[in-house]
Amino acid sequence: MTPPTSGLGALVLAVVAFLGFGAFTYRAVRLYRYLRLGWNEDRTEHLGRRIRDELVIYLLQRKLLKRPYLIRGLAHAFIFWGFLVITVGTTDLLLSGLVGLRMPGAESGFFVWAVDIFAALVLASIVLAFGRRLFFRPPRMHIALDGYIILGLIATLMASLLLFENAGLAAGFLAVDQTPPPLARLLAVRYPAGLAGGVFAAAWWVHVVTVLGFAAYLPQSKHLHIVTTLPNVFFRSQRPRGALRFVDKIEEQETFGAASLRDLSWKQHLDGYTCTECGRCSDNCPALATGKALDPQKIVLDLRNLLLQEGDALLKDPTATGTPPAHQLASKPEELWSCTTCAACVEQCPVTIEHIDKIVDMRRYLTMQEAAAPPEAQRAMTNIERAGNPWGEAAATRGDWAEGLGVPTFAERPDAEYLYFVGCAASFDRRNQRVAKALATILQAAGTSFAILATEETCNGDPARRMGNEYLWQTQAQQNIDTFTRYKVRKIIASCPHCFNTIANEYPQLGGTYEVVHALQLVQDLIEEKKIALGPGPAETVAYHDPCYLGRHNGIYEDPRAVLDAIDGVTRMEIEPHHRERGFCCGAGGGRMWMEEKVGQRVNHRRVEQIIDAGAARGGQPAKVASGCPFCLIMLDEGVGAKGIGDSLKPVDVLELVAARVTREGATKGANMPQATP
Amino acid sequence: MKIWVIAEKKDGALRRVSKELAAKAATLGDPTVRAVGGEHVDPAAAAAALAERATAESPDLILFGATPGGRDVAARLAARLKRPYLSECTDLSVKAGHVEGSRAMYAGKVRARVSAALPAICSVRPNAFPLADGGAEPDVKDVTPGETPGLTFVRFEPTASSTGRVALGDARVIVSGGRGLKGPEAWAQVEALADVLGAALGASRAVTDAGWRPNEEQVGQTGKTVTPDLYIALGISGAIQHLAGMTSSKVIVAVNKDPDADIFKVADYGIVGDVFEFLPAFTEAVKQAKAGA
Amino acid sequence: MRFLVCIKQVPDSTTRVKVAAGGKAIVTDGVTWSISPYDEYAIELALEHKDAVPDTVVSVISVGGPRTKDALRQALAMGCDDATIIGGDGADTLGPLGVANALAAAVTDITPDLVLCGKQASDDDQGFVGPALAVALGWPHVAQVTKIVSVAGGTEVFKETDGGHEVWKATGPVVLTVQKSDKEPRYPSLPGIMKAKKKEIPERSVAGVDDPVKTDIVSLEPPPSRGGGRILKDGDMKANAAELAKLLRDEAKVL
Repeated sequence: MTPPTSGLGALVLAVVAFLGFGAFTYRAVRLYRYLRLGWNEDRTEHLGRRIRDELVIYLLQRKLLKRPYLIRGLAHAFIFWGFLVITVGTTDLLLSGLVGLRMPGAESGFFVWAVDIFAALVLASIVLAFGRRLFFRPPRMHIALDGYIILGLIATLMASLLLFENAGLAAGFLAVDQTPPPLARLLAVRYPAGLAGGVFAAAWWVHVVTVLGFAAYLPQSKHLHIVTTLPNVFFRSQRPRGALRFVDKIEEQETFGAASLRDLSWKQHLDGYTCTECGRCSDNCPALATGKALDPQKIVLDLRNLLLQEGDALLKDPTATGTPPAHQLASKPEELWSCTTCAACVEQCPVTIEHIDKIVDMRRYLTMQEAAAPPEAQRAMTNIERAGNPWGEAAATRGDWAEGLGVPTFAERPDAEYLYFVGCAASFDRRNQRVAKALATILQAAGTSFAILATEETCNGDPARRMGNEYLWQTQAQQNIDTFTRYKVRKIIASCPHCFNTIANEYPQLGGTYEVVHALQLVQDLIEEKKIALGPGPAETVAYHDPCYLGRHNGIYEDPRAVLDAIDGVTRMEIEPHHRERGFCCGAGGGRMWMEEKVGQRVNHRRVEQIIDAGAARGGQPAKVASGCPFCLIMLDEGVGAKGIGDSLKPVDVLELVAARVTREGATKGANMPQATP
Repeated sequence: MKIWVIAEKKDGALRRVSKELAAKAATLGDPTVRAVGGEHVDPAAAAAALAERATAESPDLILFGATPGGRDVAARLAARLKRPYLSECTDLSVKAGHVEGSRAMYAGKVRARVSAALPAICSVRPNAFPLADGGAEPDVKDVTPGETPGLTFVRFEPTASSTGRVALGDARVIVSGGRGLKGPEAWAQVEALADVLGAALGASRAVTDAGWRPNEEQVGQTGKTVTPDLYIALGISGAIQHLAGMTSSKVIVAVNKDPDADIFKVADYGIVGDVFEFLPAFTEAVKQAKAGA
Repeated sequence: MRFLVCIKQVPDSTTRVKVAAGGKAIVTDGVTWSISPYDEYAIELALEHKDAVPDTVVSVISVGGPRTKDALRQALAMGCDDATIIGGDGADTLGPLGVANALAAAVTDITPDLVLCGKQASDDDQGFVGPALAVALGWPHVAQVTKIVSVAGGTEVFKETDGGHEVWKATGPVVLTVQKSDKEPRYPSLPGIMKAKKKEIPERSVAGVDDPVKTDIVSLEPPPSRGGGRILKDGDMKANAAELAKLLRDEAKVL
């Protein structure tokens, strides 16, 4: 159809387009300059993975289409796909209106059909979105005028599109050889003589002016995400999720952590522009769910707002630092200390915002720069420094749990194939010592060649790092790496997911690269390879609790389940709906294990309630809840104790269930015989 | 051999430790029991008054009770007289011109026997020695202190929630309760036991979290780290969070109904059974044991 | 106002202390050394005052061998302004009055308004040096201190006693021996640690210090090992409770 822009029309359109795009550009340049206040983090490595992410997360909307958000996710996907198609149409409209050029393929039947179908789907989705906001508002959704304006604009766009197509059709503006827009034709409105042309022109102008108004409005709105998601997904962190950012040459830094907006990287600021305020992060946050001050979405938005507030001042004076972000948050550092780094927010965010990095950067500032970590956290750090474990147990007793078990140390058996890195919990906590013993039993039965470091092991540093003490983490990690090097360690087993994650994903930052497995991965292999056999046991239902640092941080969901399934008599139960990637934290991660939890409900108590609820929903309570993490075990133990159900619901480690039934299948090979090194 | 015992009074009566020392001194030589008169005497003034008499009478051994006040004056007096000082002895003997004391070092991780040439000064812990047979009150001679320039007593500020109980951080005996006590009501009985023992009250994190007891009483990783001579854990299971705060206690007593509770692994004495049966029975037993039955 | 905090380096409270062969000393190999806990509280008390009154100067001093410098650096990292070590031959073996005299000589040079010590060091656990330093200086002292407040004409000092605090007012220089309080010693900031690494620590010598009294270690032995405790599980609660009370009185000697 020929656009109604003959004569003066094109000039008017040019002025409107100039204003619309001008307003957009003016604001966008400003936002870009603010963004560049952040330090220049390189996010260009792993190009292939970035392109794949762009396809899967951006184009295919993978992270939106997740339980329990499937329907609204689909609605969003239709709007998104619709926009992609219609944007081509809009460009075509503007081009033809301004200079009379058509986009190649814009008049093809396929495209005309696509535009109309998507316009309809978008309209339907908009109706759904309106309905949700008005009638089925999700509890944590941030409802603001902005959302209605945007929905209104989109609705206007779609309605005006269909209307001008329809009127244009009625007015006979369509060339005979062209495919008529199917939906517009379907409506088949009869216009009084001569009116169709006027309606066409009016609707066309409304459409085009709305497009340009939309462009002008966009950078003021959370809907900027339709522009920023593309780069935000492309430049997402390609570190393993469980790895925090490494601070190189830390001793040479002048300030530590996020002392200023300049100390957050440009990507952290892009995250702020990209947040759509959908609230999925908040929805899944265990701290928020139990009444803590933390709201992950608010953290992202607070940082964005601070940038918008202080951006000009920081640009004007290159020496200015502005408010330390940690102090700008409305409820102050308390929010930051509530985070368990469980990654439920990161997992759910459809636009790949990195919440934990921001929180840890601000914790780094509080801990290292201001020495303002909570007193209990300071005590834990002092303990790690002096005793090599956060509880302050005597370092000399680290290997005592293994006494009399025939577990060799590396000093005694330097040719052992595996290092069993025991970790502080299993070394010192009497409950978790039983887990370490269980693993030793299994490995001995399988004839696996392994040894421990006993007193030569020290805390891997995870609690310190997540409390914001990067310096202490580096000290601890280096000490362990030096010990590993001395014994030429190549393969490491960890029964603690925190040890596992840190050694596997973070030690490479300091040059320590090993083949690291979690004990349950190894046990699964041993079962599969028939190196151990499991004898009969009583029939019981066992719920599986996903440790965050096994599951979400490292994607290990199936191995522990497979091990449970291989145990005779055990019926595995899922803690619906909080399992696998929606697993609910026990409350101990991020160094929270060693901090007070005074506000709201304790996270571990909520977790125990979820287990009970899931049991009730399936019509029978589990006898045990199994996990693969010493902290989860401690927390669940405390939780069932608090609920007074310790007798009916016993927290265990999966390793204990295996060890209780393991038979010495591998004994023929000789338990724990050293294997020839290739 | 001339021995002085510097006695302390509480509420007008001699402290038990002073009587114990008087009885011990009588077995070692020729005792004189003295006390520094007056209220709120600072240690410098007390030591000055005692030093003056000691210079005149030159006792071979001066014994103090190892109470906060006693230790304070004893150290100051020893420095003034340039005499060796053994603090917080749990046993004493004298031979060949030397006094030998048993005492704890390295925060209780080492037991030491230490010797010093006479004349010397010692402070001795309560309960180290028995009272004299017949329980006769020693004759106490008062020493009148002067004043210390530059230091004056202003006022006493009782602790806000003061029950007159000793502070947790430095208590010699602590009675600590856990979730096994089932609710705040149980503390009436816990306090009754603490009163008999002169103990401070402690609690596990579960108890302070539940609001049964104030947060200041929490012992453990996120609470206070304590090293008393006697720690009585009632209905506490022994999570590492709690153990991290109390395993350096000298003697640990655990009472729990679960024989597999981890607390028993660090306990010197344990009772497997109902803590509600234990409390009244043990309170009564301590009363009798203290009465010397 | 200038504070001088006297500290001692001792085996860390998390370290397992082992008695060396011969039974006269402890094994020092593999020991983690740190500032004695009460001394850390003394540092904290001074630093809190500095937080409130920024022109406060907090100096720290210690008597001991070369590794004592680590303890002083830790104090500097926490926020102390300067540190002095009193070392030289015999610094490790000085008796308590010798240490007090060495410190007193330094006090004369440093001229602090207040001197703080921990109420006792957690190695020999004597509690002798603080009062002895006060005697050597001819100053009064207050023990068991948990709080200090500047008031008109002097300093109010809070001394912990059963059920509360005695408040004493010092109008001139005074030695305070510090008790643990609710405010735990701070964990140093990283800029603090970095600055402390570079700071010069001037050294004084113990040479010629009068060290009049000595005590001798006759023997050291570890306490009976923990675990394998006596568990009473059978029988009547009344009898068990009575048995326990008897054991605590006669065997453990803690009643």
